[in-house]
Amino acid sequence: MKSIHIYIGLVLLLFGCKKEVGPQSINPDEKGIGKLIVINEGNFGFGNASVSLYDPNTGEIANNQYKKVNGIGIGDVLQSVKRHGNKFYFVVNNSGKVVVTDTNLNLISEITGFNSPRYMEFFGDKAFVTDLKQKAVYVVDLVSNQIINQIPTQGWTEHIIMHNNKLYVMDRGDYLTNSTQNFLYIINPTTLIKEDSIQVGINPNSMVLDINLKLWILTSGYSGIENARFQRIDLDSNKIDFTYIFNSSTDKPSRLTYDFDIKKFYFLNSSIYSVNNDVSGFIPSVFYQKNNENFYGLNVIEGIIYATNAKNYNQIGNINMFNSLGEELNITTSSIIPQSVN
Amino acid sequence: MLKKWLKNSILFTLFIGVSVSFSQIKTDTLRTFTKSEFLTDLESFSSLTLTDSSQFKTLAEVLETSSPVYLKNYGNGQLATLSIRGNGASQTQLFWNGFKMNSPTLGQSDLSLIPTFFISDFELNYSGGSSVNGSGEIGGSLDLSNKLNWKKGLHGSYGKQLGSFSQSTSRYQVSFGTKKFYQQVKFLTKKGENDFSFPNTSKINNLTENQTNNKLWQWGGQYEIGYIINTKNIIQATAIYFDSWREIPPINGGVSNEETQEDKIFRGFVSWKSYQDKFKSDLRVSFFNEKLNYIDSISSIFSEVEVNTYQAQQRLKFKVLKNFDVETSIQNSLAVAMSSGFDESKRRNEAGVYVKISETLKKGYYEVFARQELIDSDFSPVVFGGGFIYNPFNNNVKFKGNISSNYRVPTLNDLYWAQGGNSNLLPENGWSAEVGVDFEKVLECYSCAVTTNDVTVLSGKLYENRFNFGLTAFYNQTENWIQWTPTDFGYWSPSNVKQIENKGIEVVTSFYHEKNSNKIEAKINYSFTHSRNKDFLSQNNEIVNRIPIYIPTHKANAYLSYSINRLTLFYSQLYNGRVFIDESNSTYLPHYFPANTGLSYSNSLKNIKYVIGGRINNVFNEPYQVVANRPIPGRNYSINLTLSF
Repeated sequence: MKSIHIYIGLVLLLFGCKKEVGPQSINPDEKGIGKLIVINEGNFGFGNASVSLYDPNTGEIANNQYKKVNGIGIGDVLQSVKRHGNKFYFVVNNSGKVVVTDTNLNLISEITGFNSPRYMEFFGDKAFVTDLKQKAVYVVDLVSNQIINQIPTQGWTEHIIMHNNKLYVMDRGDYLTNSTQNFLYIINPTTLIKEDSIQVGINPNSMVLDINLKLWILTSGYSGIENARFQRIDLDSNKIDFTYIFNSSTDKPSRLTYDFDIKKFYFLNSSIYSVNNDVSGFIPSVFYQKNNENFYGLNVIEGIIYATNAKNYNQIGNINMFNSLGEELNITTSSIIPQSVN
Repeated sequence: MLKKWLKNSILFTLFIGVSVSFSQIKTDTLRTFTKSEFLTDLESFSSLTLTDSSQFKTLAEVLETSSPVYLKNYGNGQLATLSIRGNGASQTQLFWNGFKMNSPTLGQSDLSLIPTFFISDFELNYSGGSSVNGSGEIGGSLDLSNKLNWKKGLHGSYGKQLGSFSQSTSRYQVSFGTKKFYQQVKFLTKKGENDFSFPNTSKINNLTENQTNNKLWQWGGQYEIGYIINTKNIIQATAIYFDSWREIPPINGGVSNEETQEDKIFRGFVSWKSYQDKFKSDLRVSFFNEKLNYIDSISSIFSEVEVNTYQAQQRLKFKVLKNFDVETSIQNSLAVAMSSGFDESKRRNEAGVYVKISETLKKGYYEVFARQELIDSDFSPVVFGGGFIYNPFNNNVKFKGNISSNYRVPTLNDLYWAQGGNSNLLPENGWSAEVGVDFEKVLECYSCAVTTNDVTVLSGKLYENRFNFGLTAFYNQTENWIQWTPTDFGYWSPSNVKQIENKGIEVVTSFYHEKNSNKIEAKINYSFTHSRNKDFLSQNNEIVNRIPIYIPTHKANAYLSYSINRLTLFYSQLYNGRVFIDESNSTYLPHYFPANTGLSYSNSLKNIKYVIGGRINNVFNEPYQVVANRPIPGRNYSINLTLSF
């Protein structure tokens, strides 16, 4: 009889504790004040995406900040973040939503109904969201936070840039089979009409505007068909006016980023590479030779190069920081699959 | 001559006798070793027998509540896999009547596709490479079998279960037996909307939502036939067809892609057992045809897999030098797989030879064994090992132990998936060992002398008290652990990434009391698993000594039932400790502690026996997840009725 009491006691004890449900973090983190936002993609299907705040002055990082502020996780596969006015827009890929917060990460609202959203741009009180599977660019009304329209495309729409009242959208074709014809669309954000399309190399993955307001596209190619390439597009004529082709079919460059101050491109090709923005003698070279890092994301902010290291994708990743000379400044841990520093 | 005949008869009766007794055991029993089983299976330290009362449960439910293994369950009717002693689903081999049934392409078995209604017995086998059936069970194996009960005359049963979320299961069974002949037909349908509500932990205030895209529809039939040719020869055949269609729900807070998966499975085998004077032989052949069709039309993913597997084995048992029992097995298995992930059909042939020599002594038993396989044209490493049982004090206390090497070859997907398949993968290999002690105390009185009013008579069964306790310590380690990881080229690829080490203890206790018409049964199991990642080939030192994902350190379950006359009440409780979901061990799923309870009443009306029962699952309405963001239903109910003649 006594044992039954002990048993009942044990049951009550276990139920008396506040019940946690779903994925939890081992160390609930303190509120951070860093000004840079690190987004951590998390594992597909695990719902463990997270937001970290990094302070470049102190070198301190505070993880799990969205959960700290709002009490819930941000979702499944955090793909990108963009600031617009006094709001942050987090694009959560496999949750099919965009999470809108204030600059202190307080949740304001969620824009839902996307298929597999990737990146976002803004024009007036409209936003444009690219998508992996939808074969369209979504048009969102930022007042009602509703999807109001879609601009049909050939396939997977990826990076998107708003420049000079025009939308530049990268189309990667069928997301499963990588169709061999890929395009850059030029879309009028008011009429939503595609004004032009430029065929680019296979598998464009990132693009930046340089200081001369020319658009640079990095493509990763397709084994056996086409090697990876850099392509520069003149936005007055909408023509490719410079192409650099990588030597080897094993080159899979990605994550093009640009330092305006020193006119230099950085990108990942297993290691970190750089190349000066100068079409004469345009030869990329190793900026930082990797050891066993698994570089995943790359950003330049105020002259500092932030490379994220996703390691084995199911463990805590790192952010490695370099100055423009390639000297390592700092390494900090973040969360699962750090995707970018913003 | 007479002696010889007697010996054959005894052997034969033993065989039939054991078969019959399986179907007569009234509850799920956890058996420990008995002397007669010494000769057959050392490796099975515990086995469970399925009975009428458990046939509405899924195999996953039965295992979860009655054994120390860990079940990874994606939700009602969804994928459910088994993990033994710190190893994963791929390191657990399932056998169906002695034939490997893990998918040659995926390397795993989904327990949701195995209704308990279609099997009669299962055995959990913890000790790595020692199985006569085949290799691949680095963590252990689950051996499912169809034993015929040879019941004479015409018998039949009908069962129906209705449950929450529009769940409905119907089962039909008819058997006909004569002195030499036995046939049985079974048919099952199961369906459910499974639109249960759950607290959506991805929403502020954990808003309650209903699960979507979670329908299930399964049906299947099974035919079994047995023929006793003479006192020395028996033929048995079983054929099953099972069709399962299910929707796959979105993750908590995710977008539904309205995914569906259909599995169509045919399995058949024929066995010819021969009990000769000098040896026993068992010749078995089987054919499996398994189709899987996964559709995610929103993502334009249409995945089809079809695998044909042809297997044959010849087993022999005989004695040498009077004292030694020898068991041998020669096997061949050919799998031919078509998959939308392969550029052409792939095949694998596995041939194997197994020898086990054992001796039963006055106070114990020991065995040594070895296995050699030829996989396609490559000889695999020889697997070898040995074990013992020692019972110094009249069978009440048994000490046991065994050790063996083992390995697992990469799956066809690991090798050939386009893109990513890695044909240079090495097999996983390692070794495992266990030592333990089993204690049994029985106090019973079957025909005791009872004195009342100075008259002494012999009573019938007055009481029975039975107490069992088992403690086992285990160790296993595996090198060249295969894991899929993303590559620099945008697709995933498997490689031999790490070494893993598991050690722990398992405690199994049971108590049974019967007096007059009262019966009490209690069982408590606990397992402690210290599972750690060891060397990483990629020098990933930060996750060395971390716990692999989805391996609980603590797991326990308890079962209590009380019967009085025809009424039985049960309560079962599970405790599953937290599991980490990343290899840095920075995120985890909390422990869960769900309980089930139920009541059943059995009686007969003329010749018809009936059982009516009701169950409450997740009594305390505990919200929890076994797999991240895959909610499990809260409190839910079912009622069932079984009629049999």
